[in-house]
Amino acid sequence: MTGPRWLAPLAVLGGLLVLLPLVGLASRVPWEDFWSLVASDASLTALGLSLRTAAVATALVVALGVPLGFALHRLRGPVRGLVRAVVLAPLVLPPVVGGLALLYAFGRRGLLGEQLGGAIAFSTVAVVIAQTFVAMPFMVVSVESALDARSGRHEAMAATLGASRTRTLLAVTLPALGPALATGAVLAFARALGEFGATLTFAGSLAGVTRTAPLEIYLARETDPAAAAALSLVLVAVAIAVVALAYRPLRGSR
Amino acid sequence: MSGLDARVAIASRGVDVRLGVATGRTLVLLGPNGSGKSTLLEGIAGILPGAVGEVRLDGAALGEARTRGVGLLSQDDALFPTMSVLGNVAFGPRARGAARLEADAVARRWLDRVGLAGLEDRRPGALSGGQARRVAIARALAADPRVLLLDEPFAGLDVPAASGVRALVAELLRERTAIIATHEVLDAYAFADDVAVMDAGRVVEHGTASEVLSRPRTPFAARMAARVLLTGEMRGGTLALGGGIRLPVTGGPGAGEVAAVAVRPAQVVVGGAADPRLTWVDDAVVTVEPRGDELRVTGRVAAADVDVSRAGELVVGGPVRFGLPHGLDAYPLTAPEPRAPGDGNPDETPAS
Repeated sequence: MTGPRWLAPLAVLGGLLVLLPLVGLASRVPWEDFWSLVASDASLTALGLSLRTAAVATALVVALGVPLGFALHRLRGPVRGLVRAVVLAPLVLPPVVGGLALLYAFGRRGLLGEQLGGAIAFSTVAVVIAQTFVAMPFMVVSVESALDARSGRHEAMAATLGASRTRTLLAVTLPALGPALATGAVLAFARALGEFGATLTFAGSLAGVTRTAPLEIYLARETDPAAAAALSLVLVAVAIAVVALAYRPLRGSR
Repeated sequence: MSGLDARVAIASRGVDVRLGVATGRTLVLLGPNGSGKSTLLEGIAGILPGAVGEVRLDGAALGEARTRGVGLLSQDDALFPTMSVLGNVAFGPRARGAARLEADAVARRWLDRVGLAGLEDRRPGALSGGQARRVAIARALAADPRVLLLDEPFAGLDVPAASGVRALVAELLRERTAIIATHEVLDAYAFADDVAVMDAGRVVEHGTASEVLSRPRTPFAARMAARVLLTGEMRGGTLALGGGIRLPVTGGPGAGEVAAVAVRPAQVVVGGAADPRLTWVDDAVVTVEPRGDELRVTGRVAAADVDVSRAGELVVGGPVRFGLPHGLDAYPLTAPEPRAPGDGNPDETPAS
């Protein structure tokens, strides 16, 4: 489809809005020191923590988000819209608000504070929870819409062939959802990796414990702008790689 | 009773049917598209959400789909696209607890039976229509079903593929309890021990193949059997069709009883010279429909197949003379007994 010509300048403007900041970032990176900056103790610790927590959060997103997607798919009527809105809220909530909400649920004075003994807030576990909280909607939406697109014929056939529901889920439904699961997981990982606001509010910024790469960048911004820029560029590269990866299977299969 | 006995009702689709098939027999379920055949088969297989009723096999009520042992070959094949051909066919044996190697061996044997040895590693998307149908047949049979349901098994295939699948089905159904849903009377002649005719969600006729195909009791069943039903009253070796027309027939009940003959349109002549072997009926043309080299002319009473060259004589609404052959097999026609509650069959009143 070709649109009218006047779309072109607007498209260029939009493209520049995205591109210029990235160029600006790259212009501040002292390229000769790039590796030493990225490989500094603080940077490596923060990056390592980010990768570990984002990986665990992604696993949690798969384990919890897929069942949630199934549950949402099963719901009917106005209840479904309401439940969906609540489940997807972290997607549009300001992260700080999310962090605050987590604090009031799992923090020392939170709803479950006494049961948990204040062990969670300001720990690495809190980082993972905050990341899972904000990233799960990607998986839920992805699974729900993929299930809605299925007719259920294959599942019915599997039943006539004697398969239990568990076997049908594992051998028929989940493989068919492969592209949707991959997309959901990759986007969730990216969102977890970039998490800042909820993490800062709920988990704080303890070096090596809760200080993930985005927090490290924010802190280094004033003391060591060159290191902040270098670390930022690493995250930019990861983000672009992740998005390129996530959108390929969808385009191929539908 | 030994065999399958099913009652399936689903209000939202207007289907309410009771149907049975004895062990080892093949029932052909004959009906036009949209008459509820697929819905009925899905109900018997236990995969129709919202259906009520009961399905019994050898007297025992069947539970959820996966424990029924009722295999379904669906019109769309519904092969699992994420598995290889071998994986598809091995799915049933695996689901029933066979180890992978054992299941694969069973699957290979079935693929060999259906003539697809060598295609084990293909994906369903890379199969032709005929190959996909054969894989679906192998998959259904590899699960070792006690009853096999085939929904339009030859539809959507090109002629050579359909002939091949017909031969395969004929071979595989021997000694099996099976129901074939089809809109082609050919399949009834080819496969049926028993025939049931379905119309608008109801079974309107059910009996042995020869009963239903050559002695249909309703005009609808006669049409599905590619015949025309002529009903009247027996009068001394003739069937009085009304309007003073008396058709000499063979057999039939005693004088005064209601009887019918089911004539094939190919046996009926249109127009032409006086012939002592024919009885003429004046009728009006209702439809003229091309069928290959012939035209099927359908009137209010009879129908005939004539050569296409005569298309000019036949005008819808215009007059037509049908010449009916003598000596057709006449049979008594009493109002059919209701077969089951809800089997709402509007009783056929014989034409006067």
